[in-house]
Amino acid sequence: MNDDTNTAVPNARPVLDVRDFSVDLTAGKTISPIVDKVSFEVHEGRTLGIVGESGCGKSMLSLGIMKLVPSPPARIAGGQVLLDGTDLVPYSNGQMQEIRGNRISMIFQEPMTSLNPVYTVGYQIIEALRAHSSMTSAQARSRAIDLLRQVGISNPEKRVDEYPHRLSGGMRQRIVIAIALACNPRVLIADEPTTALDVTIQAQILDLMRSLKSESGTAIILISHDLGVIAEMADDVVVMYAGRIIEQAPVHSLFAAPSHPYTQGLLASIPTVDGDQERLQPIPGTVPPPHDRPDGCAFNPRCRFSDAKCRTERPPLEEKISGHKVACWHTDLGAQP
Amino acid sequence: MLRYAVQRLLLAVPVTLGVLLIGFILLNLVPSDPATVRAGPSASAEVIAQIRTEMGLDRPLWEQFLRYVGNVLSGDLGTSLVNNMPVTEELSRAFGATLELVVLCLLWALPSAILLGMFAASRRGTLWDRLIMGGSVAGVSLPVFLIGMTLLWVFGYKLQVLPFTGRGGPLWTVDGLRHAILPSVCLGLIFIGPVARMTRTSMLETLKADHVRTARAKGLSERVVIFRHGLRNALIPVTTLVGLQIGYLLGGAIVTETIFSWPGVGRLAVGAIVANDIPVAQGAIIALSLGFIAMNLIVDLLYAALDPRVQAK
Amino acid sequence: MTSHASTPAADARPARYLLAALGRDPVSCIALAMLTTLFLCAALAPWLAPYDPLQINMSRVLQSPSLDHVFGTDGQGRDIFSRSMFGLRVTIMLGFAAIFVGGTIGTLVGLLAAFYPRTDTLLMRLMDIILSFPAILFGLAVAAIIGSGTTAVIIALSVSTTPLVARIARGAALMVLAQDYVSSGRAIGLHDWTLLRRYVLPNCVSTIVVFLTLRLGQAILLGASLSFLGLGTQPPTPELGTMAAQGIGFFFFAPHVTLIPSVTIFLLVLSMNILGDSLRDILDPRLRS
Repeated sequence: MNDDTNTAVPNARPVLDVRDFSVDLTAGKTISPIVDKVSFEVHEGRTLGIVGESGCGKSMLSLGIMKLVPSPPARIAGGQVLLDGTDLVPYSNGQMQEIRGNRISMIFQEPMTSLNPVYTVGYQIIEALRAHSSMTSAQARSRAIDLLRQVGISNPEKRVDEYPHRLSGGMRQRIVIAIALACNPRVLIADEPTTALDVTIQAQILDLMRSLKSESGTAIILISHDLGVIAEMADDVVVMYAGRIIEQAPVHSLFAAPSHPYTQGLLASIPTVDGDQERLQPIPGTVPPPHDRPDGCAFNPRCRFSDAKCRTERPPLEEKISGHKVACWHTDLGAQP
Repeated sequence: MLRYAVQRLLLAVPVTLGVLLIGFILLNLVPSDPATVRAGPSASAEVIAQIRTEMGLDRPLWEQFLRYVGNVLSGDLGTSLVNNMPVTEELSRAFGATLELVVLCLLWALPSAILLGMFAASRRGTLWDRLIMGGSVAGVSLPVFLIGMTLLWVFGYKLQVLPFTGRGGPLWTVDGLRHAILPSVCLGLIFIGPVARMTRTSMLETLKADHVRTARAKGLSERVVIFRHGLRNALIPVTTLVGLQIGYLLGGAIVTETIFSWPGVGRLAVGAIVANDIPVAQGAIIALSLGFIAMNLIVDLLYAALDPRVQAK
Repeated sequence: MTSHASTPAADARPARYLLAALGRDPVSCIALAMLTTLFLCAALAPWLAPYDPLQINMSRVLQSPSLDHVFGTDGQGRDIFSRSMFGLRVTIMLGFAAIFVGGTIGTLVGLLAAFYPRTDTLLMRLMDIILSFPAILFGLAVAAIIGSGTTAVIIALSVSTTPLVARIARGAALMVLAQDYVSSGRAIGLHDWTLLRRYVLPNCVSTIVVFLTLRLGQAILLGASLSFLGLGTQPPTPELGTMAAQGIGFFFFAPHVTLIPSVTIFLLVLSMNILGDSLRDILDPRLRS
């Protein structure tokens, strides 16, 4: 494996290479996988979108990459997370501290609660800076002000001394982004970064992330349940269902030819601008909880194509067209919705 | 912060006036006539009447109240009916003793309670956790005098390692400190339970918060996460609780002082009430109330210092 | 006219359910058994007590526990076991009296404040002022004004309980008042008092009762402390705090005279606190601090 990475052309090597990554959840006496052998790559300056309904394991996956899964009850069960070729899974918590916020950063869903209410925003940015560099406090402060300016906060010299409760949700999310960008990370994981925000603010934040990516070349993992956001932002997309990847493709290919019945269902359930409401079709049923996943294809109870094979054998994730992988026994059927 | 402090201070003014009014009512409501008590059992009616005039007891009530407030503000709380000593003088001596007791108690009990609570939170669900929480329920159920008498019996009488009556001098002397140990331990024990319990709950609650996850995601060390982002925020509800507990602390102090013959305001008050020495009693009650108001003020300011959201309101 | 059954009372859960919930927790079971025993001792004291609690017998002073006197005798030769039973009775009654008076006045004030918004500010400010003083200071002040005694303790405890109950009653009442069925009650022209009695009060009762059970232990502890200080129940009436104080003089020779009543109070309050916590968790999770 090492040989493989050593011989590869540096530019072609992914910044983050996740292989067969699994997270288990313990509930009482049963242990069940909430992230099940997930593999994907993210390249420099590109955005990978991860889509799925709530409960599909996408948040656990992102916390798992940071090795921040709440343990107990959850635990990383196997696989590799290669950051520039180095596997993070065997890292100790101390070693991970040097990675977190420095080479991999994270933005969370809830801007209202993800900042500590008792410290100024400046302090919270400076804290991230000084955790990973030997800056003096004066240097860190001027860098914090720069960062605030960079994420589009007006009057940063004044805002740096504000407490979070004085700022709006959109502003707070910009601060969270500033903290995440403080140390020029290689990878930025954004877990539903705009879900809690108004539509206009949402557009501003997405614009900000896009421009930051093009400036710094940071690789972005964007987690969302919102296909609109994914279509707008992502270069490649991973669709997750019940802890597994069921479809993986470049964004245009996915939207042009969704191959898994679940992906098709997701696409059919978003309202279109021409607004033909009759064609809006929610997928019946819900994601099965981790301890109660059906045999075979996890989606089979909700799938209109499901047959005996779907109920007994799990479909492998296979490349159907170039770069477009699907895990379904019926892609021939599914390709023509 | 300064504005907030001034605001709080101004709010304390009407409460203080209320306290003075209660003190005044106290002096006037008592069925026993102070002039009669002062004059002694064998005094004639003329003598009593003369003393009444001297004491201003024949003036209208509102005038008496104004004069009373004026006197209190200028530090004159009357003289003891028992030993004719100025009440202010007795109080100032006693106040230092009580302050010493309370401060020493807080100095050891508060950090211990917070550490115990954090320890219980970190060992959540284990035997240690259950022991500490069980001890906390037992602690709030213990009558102060049971704690006091047990300490006195074990350390004062059986082991004879510590003195258990009176004050041995200023705290910074060995003897002073030795005398203060048992009373302050007694007082601290009633305080530790609820504070430890609240710290545990609050800590567990805080560590689940989103901002703690953000702190971890920044790559801060676990120690920094727990203390700077966990404990710091968890202390906010703990401070509120400490504020609510001050009343119990005061009650505990009064009983503790009585048990260990600690010459503080509480013991003075109880003694005066039992002896019907109303001027001393009202003085002591006013002093205790003002002390209580002052401690609440300190807690309020501490709370505002801990939580920037408070000052905004 | 609507019937009682149509009001969705919050305390509709039967006692059986409560007992079953308590029964699942062994600690609560022990506490319940202990509390029942103590209450029975108090209630049946006149019939169960082996001796007259006031009978002085100078020939058997300060005896250690023996078969004749299971808890020994006090400084005047009185049987401590009998005195403890009667003392328990007085101590418990003190607590209940205070809770009852404070609870009633507090509920009234709270309901009024919630029901008539015009009185709200005035009443609740007044409650806040009372609340800003600790109960022990009321105890001292009342004892100084009317003299030491049982009445002083009850007044002090009631006064300090009132604002706490008022706050809780007001909060609960405001929640009830926001419900649709109250507006419909108003709409069909029910009298204010009928509304309060039939709709609001029944729906606040469980919250208030749970709070009062939690408060009872504190009230008893405080009452005993005041009696211990000599400001409460006066001798020779047996009261646990007073009894503990009477033993101080010979504490080193006969510690049981002080310890037995003190430990009795401890067991009483401990079992109350444990049950109060469990009750709160079962009935009203909102009160959890």
